[in-house]
Amino acid sequence: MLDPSYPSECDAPPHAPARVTDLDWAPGEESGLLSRDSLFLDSYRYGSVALSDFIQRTVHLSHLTAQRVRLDANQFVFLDLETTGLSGSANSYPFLVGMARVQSGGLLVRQVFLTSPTREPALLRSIQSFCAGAQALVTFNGRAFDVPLLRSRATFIRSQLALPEEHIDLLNPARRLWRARLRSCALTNLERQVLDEWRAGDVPSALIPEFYYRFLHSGDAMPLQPVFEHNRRDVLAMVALAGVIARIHAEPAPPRMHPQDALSVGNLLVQAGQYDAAATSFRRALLGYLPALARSEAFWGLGRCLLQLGRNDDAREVFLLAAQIGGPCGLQAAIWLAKFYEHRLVAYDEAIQMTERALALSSTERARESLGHRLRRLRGKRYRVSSRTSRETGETRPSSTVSEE
Amino acid sequence: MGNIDTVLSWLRQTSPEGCLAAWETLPPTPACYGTWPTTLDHRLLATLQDRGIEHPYSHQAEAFARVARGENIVVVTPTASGKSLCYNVPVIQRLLEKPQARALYLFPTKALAQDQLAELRGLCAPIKPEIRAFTFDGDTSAAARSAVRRSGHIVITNPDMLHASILPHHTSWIKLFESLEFVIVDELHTYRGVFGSHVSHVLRRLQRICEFYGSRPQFICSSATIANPQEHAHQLIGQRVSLVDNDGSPRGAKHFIIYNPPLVSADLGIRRSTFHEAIRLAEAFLRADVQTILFARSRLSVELLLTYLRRSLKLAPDEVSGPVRGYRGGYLPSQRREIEAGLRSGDVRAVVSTNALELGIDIGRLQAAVLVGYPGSITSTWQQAGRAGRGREASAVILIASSTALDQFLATHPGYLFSGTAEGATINPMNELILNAHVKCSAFELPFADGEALQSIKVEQMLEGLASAYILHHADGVWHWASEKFPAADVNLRSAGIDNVVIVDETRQVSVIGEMDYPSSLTMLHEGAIYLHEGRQFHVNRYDVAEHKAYVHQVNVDYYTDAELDVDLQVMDISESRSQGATVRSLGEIAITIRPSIYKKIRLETHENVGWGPIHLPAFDMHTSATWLALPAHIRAEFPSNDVSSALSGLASMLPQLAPVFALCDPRDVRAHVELRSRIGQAPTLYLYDAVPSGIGLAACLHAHWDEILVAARDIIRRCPCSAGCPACVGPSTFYDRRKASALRITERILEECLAGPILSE
Repeated sequence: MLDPSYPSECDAPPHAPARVTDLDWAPGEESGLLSRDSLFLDSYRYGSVALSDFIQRTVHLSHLTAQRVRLDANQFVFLDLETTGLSGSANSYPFLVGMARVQSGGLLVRQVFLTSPTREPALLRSIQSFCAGAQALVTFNGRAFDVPLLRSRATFIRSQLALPEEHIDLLNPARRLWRARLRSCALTNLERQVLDEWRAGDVPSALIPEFYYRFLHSGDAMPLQPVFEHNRRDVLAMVALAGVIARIHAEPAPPRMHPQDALSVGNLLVQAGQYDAAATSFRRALLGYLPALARSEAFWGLGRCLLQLGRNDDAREVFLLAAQIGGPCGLQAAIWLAKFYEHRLVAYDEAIQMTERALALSSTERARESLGHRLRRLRGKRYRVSSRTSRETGETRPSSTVSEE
Repeated sequence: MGNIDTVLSWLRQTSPEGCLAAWETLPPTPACYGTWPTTLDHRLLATLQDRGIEHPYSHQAEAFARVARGENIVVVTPTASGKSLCYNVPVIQRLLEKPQARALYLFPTKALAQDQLAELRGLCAPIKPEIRAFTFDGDTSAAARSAVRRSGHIVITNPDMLHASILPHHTSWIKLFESLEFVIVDELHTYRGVFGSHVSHVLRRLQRICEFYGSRPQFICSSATIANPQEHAHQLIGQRVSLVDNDGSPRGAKHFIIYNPPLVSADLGIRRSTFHEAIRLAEAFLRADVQTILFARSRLSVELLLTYLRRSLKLAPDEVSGPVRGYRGGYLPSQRREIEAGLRSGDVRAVVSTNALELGIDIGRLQAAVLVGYPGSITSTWQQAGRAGRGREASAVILIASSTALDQFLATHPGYLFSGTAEGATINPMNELILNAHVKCSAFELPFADGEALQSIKVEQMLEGLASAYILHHADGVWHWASEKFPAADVNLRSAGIDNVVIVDETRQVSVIGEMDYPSSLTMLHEGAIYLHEGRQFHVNRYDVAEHKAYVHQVNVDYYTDAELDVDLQVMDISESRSQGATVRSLGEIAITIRPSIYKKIRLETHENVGWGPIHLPAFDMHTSATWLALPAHIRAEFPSNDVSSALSGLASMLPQLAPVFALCDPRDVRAHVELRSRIGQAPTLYLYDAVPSGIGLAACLHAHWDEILVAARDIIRRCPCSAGCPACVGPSTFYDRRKASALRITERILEECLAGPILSE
């Protein structure tokens, strides 16, 4: 069937190039595209982060790939799209692609700009050709936005699009690392708070489609310059952020790290099963100032690492501190301690005391119900034991292991 | 089972002379069966047989055969004749042959979609592999939406969702569009006027997208009896359609009676109240255990009739369950489902409904229908009448004529109903404003190529216009969308928009009991109003306009309230003005400001006025289209000014009642307004305007027929037996004795001048 919207390429009239005087743009690989390459040297710093940080530590990003394969620096392609709308509607398509890839001497940033909507297939081909040989695509929020959009556009215009096998969406680790401290994990906010970079005169994302539509009507790309710059900065910020995340994986808790971040890193590492490194991060977090709830979270995390490392007595000490402070983690700790006293030490008085503490910390009806039940059971046990010991002393104590009920 | 014959012979013996204005007996017709084709899937055949359907009726068999030949069809058979099998059987058959195939069902309301979902699921339940049917509407959760997109074999939705959600996001619906084999358009006759014109473009956009994805769905439409179903379907979908109307369902004898309540005062033209007569008849049916439906013409009428009927049957007036129920828009969906189920099971013996039960909601068939007042169109009358008649039993339909001009016309001219054809449905896909709106939506969905049409409608000029307005961008022979706007959001398919007002009952615990559109809320939910809901009375404590909430508590009082509105009219734009004879008729845009002023407390049963109160609510503004006629100075000079005033208000009360004859509408869709000194021409002016925001083209229709309207009005006044005006003509006169005479004389004078003079366009 004929495709009414996209004439076959041979009969498309040559497109008049957009006016790009004063811009360092060159015709792209195909007509209807403009392209700009910028090379950033190893020594280039984006905010507080040097490009070399990323290039040297890329191997640590392999933790974030699905296969956990070791990748070289030049096997990552960073990608960021500017599109004609966020609505996910049939009319939302990419008009500017920013891509970056490590090559000898530094980081190559290539931006490809679509000067005529009919040439969208060429734009997709330019992405594919830049990605040739790469193993992993790196995006920020690409899992929800960029990649599904590209796939749907490829289907829509009936062209093929082969992207690198692996996809690392930096939004995921960024949320785990910084949401507790920063709340907003938007790229612009991370840029300020994590990379210490402040953009001046940036275009609000919501206005970008309008800039492009104005260009379509006027043919004048000059007003789009802030959009091009916005896109290039987004790509650089992504690379720098990847560098920070790689550094965290390489050196979990450097001395100057914000205590809240050290706590988040600890949690991240517990999930990754790196208990030793996690314990170091929790300790680092506890050395600095943390609000009460975060302190109890750090104690609870540290205690769990210690348990995994077989240091149960140290763990108990740390859990006691968590339970003293309170909060959801303090509650967990108190429950753990109650079980520990009951089953491991058969110390019913302490177990009762901890259950009472847990009861005081619990906030849901269900938790209170189950703790109340535990309390009654413990009191019964204590009564039976005390009446028994008064009759026949020296009975062997039961020794069951601590169980996570 | 009730005995309808006893009620009918009682009616025949006891009705005063002249009350039985018409009594037509439609003879019984036996069932006419066809056969399923041998190719019908055995699983489908088994599930049909399980439901007691051994053989198809002739129309079902023909529908299946025509669809199998690849034709688009429109099925026109009466209510409850097994219409939905005409599409469900071909669709399920195809899904069993081709599991990747898809079907889209369109219903005008969410309630009908839910109804169909239940029926489809019942039909598909025993069939393996599973056939998945889902509704997709504003109530569908975000999580459910992706499942519908991915795996729904049958997607049941409404034109509004198709327009604003599915088509603009077609890239998320690839699975549906690539394999769409059927589009079902049920209740085709509801898509008429401006709404229908909009829907016709939505269907064109749908077909354009299907073509892009390489599918070419067949259309199966069904419609109530209208004059032009085939033509209408053709216009609506832009394709040839064949007609299936060989109804094979069996019918018992049906008695269709037009009942004109007896005159109380022939002199004043006052007849016994339609409500009173409706209750008397309904009571007779119920005492004979005949399941009955009463159709009333407004929500308030439903509630009043319900209250009176329960009283006369000695039932608790505010029962929320029981054998006598109400049914109307504004009840909660769960409440409606429960009433529908009660009707099917027979637990509910009588239901008082608005035209909400005119459409194909499944309530089975009842034995008797009482139409309290003419529903406004022949189509509606037969739809409502179709609710009576179960299998081979005899059934009765009684239309009680009210004292309005139109009802009295019917009572004296029953042939209009029995031998007149049903109204035609008209749409106008070439209406420039509507077309332009949908060209925008369509260009957003898929870029137009040079020379491409919107399903045979040429749009090149519009595309150029949109490009010069910087909405489209033309490059390489393609028109691309180039605006940050989302065009579907600017186009509302139906005129009644605006948020609904939620009604919150605070009597014991806070609960939502219903909802209402904003304009109606001004007169029904103002503070101090008595709001009636399923026969229960609620006092409105507080109406929070900003929050769209009215707070009510249940009361037990012996009155109801009726609000009065002040209407102010301003002409905004005149699009056409022509002189005929000495009169000037104009068509244009007006702004109406409607301000609720006071409400009256009216005692139940006696309808006497027992008090009043002020209403403090913001005015409601509406822009709409109007046609108006200015009385020339020399005719005005022939009458005392009091006579001019009473004559014009007499005509104003009469003309909207005649509007349905000239434009397919309900009398309430048109309103009249009189200005004794028009702000623009100083002349006494009579306005007729569309009662919905932006207008639906009724004024333009009436504008073209002023002469015929005036002739009809003149004839009614002349023939009316009253002496000085009555509800059947210019309305009862209290202060001006010459109301009727002067209205007649002025109408005659206008006509004399008009029919003599040539038409001059300005």
